[in-house]
Amino acid sequence: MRLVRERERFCLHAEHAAMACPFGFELWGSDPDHLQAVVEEATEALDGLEQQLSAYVPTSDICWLNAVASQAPTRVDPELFDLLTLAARLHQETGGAFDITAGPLIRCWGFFQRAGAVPEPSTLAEARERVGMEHLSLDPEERTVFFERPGIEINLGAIGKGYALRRLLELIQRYEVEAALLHSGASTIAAFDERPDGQPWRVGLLQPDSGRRFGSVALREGGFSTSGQFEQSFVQEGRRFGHILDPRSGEPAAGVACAWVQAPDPAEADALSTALFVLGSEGARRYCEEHPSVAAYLLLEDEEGAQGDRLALRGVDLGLRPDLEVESGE
Amino acid sequence: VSDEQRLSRREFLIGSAAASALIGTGLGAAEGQQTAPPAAKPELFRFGIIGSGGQGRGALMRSALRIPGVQFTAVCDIREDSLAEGLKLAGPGAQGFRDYRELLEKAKMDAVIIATPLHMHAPMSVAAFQAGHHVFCEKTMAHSIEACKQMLRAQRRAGKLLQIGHHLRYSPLYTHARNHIGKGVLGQITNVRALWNRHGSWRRPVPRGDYDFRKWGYAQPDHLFNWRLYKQYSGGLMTELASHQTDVMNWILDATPVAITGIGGIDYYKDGRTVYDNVHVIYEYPGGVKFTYESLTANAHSPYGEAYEQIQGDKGTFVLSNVPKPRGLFFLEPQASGPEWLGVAGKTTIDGKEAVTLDAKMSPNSRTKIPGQAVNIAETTKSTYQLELEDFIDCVRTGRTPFCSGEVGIRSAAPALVAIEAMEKGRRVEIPSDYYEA
Repeated sequence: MRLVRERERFCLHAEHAAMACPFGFELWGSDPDHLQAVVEEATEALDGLEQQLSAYVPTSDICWLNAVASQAPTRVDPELFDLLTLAARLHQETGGAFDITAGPLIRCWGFFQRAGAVPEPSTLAEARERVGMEHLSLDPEERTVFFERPGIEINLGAIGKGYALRRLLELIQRYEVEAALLHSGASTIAAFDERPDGQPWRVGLLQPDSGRRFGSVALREGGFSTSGQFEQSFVQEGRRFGHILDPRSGEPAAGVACAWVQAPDPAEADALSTALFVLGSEGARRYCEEHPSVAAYLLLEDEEGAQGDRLALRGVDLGLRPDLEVESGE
Repeated sequence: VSDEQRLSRREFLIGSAAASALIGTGLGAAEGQQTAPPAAKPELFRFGIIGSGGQGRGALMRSALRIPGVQFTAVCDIREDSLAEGLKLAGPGAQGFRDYRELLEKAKMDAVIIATPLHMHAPMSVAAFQAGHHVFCEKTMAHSIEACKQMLRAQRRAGKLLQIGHHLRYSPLYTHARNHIGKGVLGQITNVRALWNRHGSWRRPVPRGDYDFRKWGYAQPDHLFNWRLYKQYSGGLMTELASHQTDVMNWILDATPVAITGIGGIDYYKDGRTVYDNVHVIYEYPGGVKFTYESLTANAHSPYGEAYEQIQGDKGTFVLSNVPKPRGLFFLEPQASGPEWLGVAGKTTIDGKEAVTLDAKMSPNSRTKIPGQAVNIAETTKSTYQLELEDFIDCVRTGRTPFCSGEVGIRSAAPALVAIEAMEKGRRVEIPSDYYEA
């Protein structure tokens, strides 16, 4: 933890590892002891959320559902039920581009093991049989989840960190904290109120191939998230395959190098950065037109980019422009 | 009832033929946990809960609600926010109460869960027995030896069941380890070392709102939220953390401490708290076994996770941990030959030294019936909270005495309470044997 004093106010910076990434906290207030207690409360809550939501914690609710929910409707707590309902809505609104049941696809492309390879057609077909959120039935009366097809499994990797940030924002707002910026490994960011100096939080945008900062956006509250082929991809027979898969086709999504999404709810921002990446520029444009609270910026890669070395990139702005500051250079 | 019988009985109740085939391995429970909920409508079991805060709601209610047939018909908390959250989790039809006496009088329930600050365990349990209810009470059992004894006397008079929430007794990993120790894998046990280290003040922020703290006996609002930090409500690290580990060692060693030496202090968080922020205790068990214990709050360093127990015998050492996740390691002494299954067991290397993994995950023969190595414990999807509550429900239904009964609870509470006394007096304190009896 690091405490900075700025006139009458204190800013506490802290990091906490959870969900396989470093969560960051920046909390502003007048009492440093109170800020520390809030951070401790928040990190404990975060550990609790990991224990509940991680597919890598054997006793989590997600592993429990994956073990039993194809045999009988299985009751979950109200918060998890709401999260699954949100995931189902996003699945529907994106025509299946967002899907929390895509785990078998990720495994069959080798990305779980961080050893990507093109799967055999029969292996891919078999995995696709076990993917599809439409096979997941949610009963709000009984608050139960039922997998209508055996082999379905849930993985909240594309929404869980954003959801955790939303829950942490809710927690922080219960206490006397003036302003806060939280992030999950810098891939999703959540802001509570603007900075105490009245300025928005500035979030830098990095170009995926070079890591160069090419712009920044102003964030006053809510969520902001990015999805890109930053790390995991592989080249086979001259073609590059990214790790973000299109659940509709079972193939790696192509055409987008990086997507940034701004939405009031950090969970939605997290999920939509993946979904709009998968949808591509036209689908993303339609989505943003139909959902005015959502704004996005896509960096597209052209055919040449897909050939390997350096990407040829073109930015598409879907509503972020008023706040976007594109830096000069190159 | 032996551990194996206890676990096997649970298997039998699940009613799966596949699981039944595992009876006798001593680890059937873990395998059986992957079994489907029964297709028939599950039998209803109604809980009331007093204390729907972090532990009550987050650990116990959520775990209980995984069990088919469980409903919470009544929820009680003096904090409005905790009550509202508890009722939301319980679902429609649950009644809310601010006063536990009213819950005990009015709720339609098969048993009550008590998950409140330590100083309230005894008065609430006694009142629950007087109202004719079975009680599941969170650990530690009570705030004083006399309060523990009051609970036991009230329970016996009422003829109802009492289970204390020392959930590690229900852990497949710890059961697995204890079975091995019973078979002599470690030889003669001479020493135990355990710790639970965290880096954090343990102080909770006080949220906005008006809290009726005085009505419930709290001197100021802070005490309502931070009861763990004040002696009048809690024993601090000894009752909130250490008692889990003493309980496990009592169970594994099948004994209770005869004397305790300790030193503690409020040396780092000088914020008005009255419980120690660091404790260092040596328990003496019969036969010369020493159990050295430490719990810190200003340094989280630990070689094996936030909390662990290291059990050392003349043939080898077990390191067991449940926090942050179940983990078991077995280090063989160089002079010892080891059990016959050693060659096929999963192995790992810790600081250049070979260790056998007690979860059997690494073993190529993990599904064969090598004693104690037949189950991949790491894959179990039930938490120890769920396992202890399942067993409690079975006890209520069958009249069987809980595995972690009040008699067990007092044996685990007394060392924690006497350790505080030893630290306060600054000398070795012998535990009279009548401390362990009601």
